[in-house]
Amino acid sequence: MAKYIVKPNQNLFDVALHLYGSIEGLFDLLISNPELNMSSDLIYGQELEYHEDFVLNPSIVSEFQDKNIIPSSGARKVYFKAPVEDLIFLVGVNADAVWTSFRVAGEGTMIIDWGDNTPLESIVLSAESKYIEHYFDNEVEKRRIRIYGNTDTLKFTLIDTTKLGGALLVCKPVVVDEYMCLGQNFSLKGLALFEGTFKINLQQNTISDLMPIGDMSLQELDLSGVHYTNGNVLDDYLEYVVAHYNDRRPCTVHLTSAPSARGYTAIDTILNEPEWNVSDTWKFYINNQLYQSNDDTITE
Amino acid sequence: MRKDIEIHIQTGDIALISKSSPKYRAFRWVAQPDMLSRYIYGEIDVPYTVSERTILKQGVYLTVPYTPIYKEFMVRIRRVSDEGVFSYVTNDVDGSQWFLVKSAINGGELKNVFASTLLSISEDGYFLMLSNGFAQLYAASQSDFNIIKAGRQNANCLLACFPGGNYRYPLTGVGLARWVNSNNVASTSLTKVLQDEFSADGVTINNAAFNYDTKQMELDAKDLDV
Repeated sequence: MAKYIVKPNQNLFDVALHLYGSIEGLFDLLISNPELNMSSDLIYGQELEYHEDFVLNPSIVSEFQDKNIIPSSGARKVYFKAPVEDLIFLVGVNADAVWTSFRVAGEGTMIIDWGDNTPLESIVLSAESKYIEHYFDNEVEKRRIRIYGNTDTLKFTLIDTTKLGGALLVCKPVVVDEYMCLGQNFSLKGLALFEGTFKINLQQNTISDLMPIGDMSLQELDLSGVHYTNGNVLDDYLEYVVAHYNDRRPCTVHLTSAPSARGYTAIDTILNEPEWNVSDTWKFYINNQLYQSNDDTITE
Repeated sequence: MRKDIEIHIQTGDIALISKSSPKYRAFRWVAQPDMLSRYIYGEIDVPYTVSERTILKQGVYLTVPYTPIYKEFMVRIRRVSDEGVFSYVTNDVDGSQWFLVKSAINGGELKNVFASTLLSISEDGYFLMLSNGFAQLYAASQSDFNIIKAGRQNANCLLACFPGGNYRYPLTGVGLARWVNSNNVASTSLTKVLQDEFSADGVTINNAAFNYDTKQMELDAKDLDV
């Protein structure tokens, strides 16, 4: 019996072709190495045994040797991935992207289908935030990332999608304490399904609609440096808060784009409604100037 | 003329073509304050000329925009004439206009569909079939292989394939990637490899030029595009 050292990126068929000149040599390889089966993954440097006098196609073996050709096709795992949990997030990523990343913290386990040939990735969340990074292993015309989980046990204390490269389309209500996404122009539509969210940071985003976060009971909302696609976006949001106040908590809002007259009217109402400023008070920082209850700096 | 199933030469995937281009009907969410809040309600408009029997027998294609509302939903189908006269398709089971939407996601059992989870069925369009008092929802897309004249595709595959990469013909392939970073392709063995590989495949190369900027091989070969 001779020994063969597995070369980088080789699968069983590559080795069979290299040793025997035909993939039919696979059977001798399996007989000589009983620990292997048809679906075994090989590791670079792994030692395999084979019968060196058993060659199926000598001309191909000698041609490989003469031209120094080493078959190394690797493994392409193209198969249907069936996660056992429900779909929570769907993200459409630019098909040209070779890499993506996002930051999360929380508790529970999420399962990611990266939309390439890699198997489903299970990630256990922890209290400390961590970046989840992935390099795509194939080229596609349309890239989709799917994140699955059990929303009874999976809870996020932080999601940061700044480097994710696509809008977060939420399919199922999920607890997200804090959400941030900086300098992007993705739709916020899916955020309407976030539950328990108290802090949102959308600095430097381009935003066409703030209504998806209209019903959130926030403690802090950072809209510094935000570009609004039309002049009504911020005013509509502020008026919505007034009209649908319910039992939300007082919030600190950071703005660098001043609202128009009707926006200021809504701010005035929010700041000076006694019942809405009981446990804590609303604060608006507009271009670093603080506006709060009974403050005569409020102007229209 | 050579024919083959089309593949995407860069991704390596089979290039599927849309088999049908169905007529997608207009869909909108409607308010139903008098009904239970467990559900939300949608309405599909079809021309009055489409009979109820046709709808029941052939189903309806529709698109639904992403709706971030986690609620089960019902639909009704409204047949509308040019004059604005309309009638609803009746649910024979309960006598109402409404059909609860169900789907067998991933081939499982039929379950109620929540509006925000529609993306797990399809991102594009849906096919809806009324059956047993329910509206069964499916992805609308139907695809098929694309059969093309394969001269150019064969040439691309031959250029891309490395010897040892084709299990049936192990020595076949130019493996062009081995030369793309060479500063002077002309003085390498590429010319001979090209001629050998293509002549073995029955193709005569008239001229071959390597574009150093794009790293592309431009081939002029007999009958390649026929």
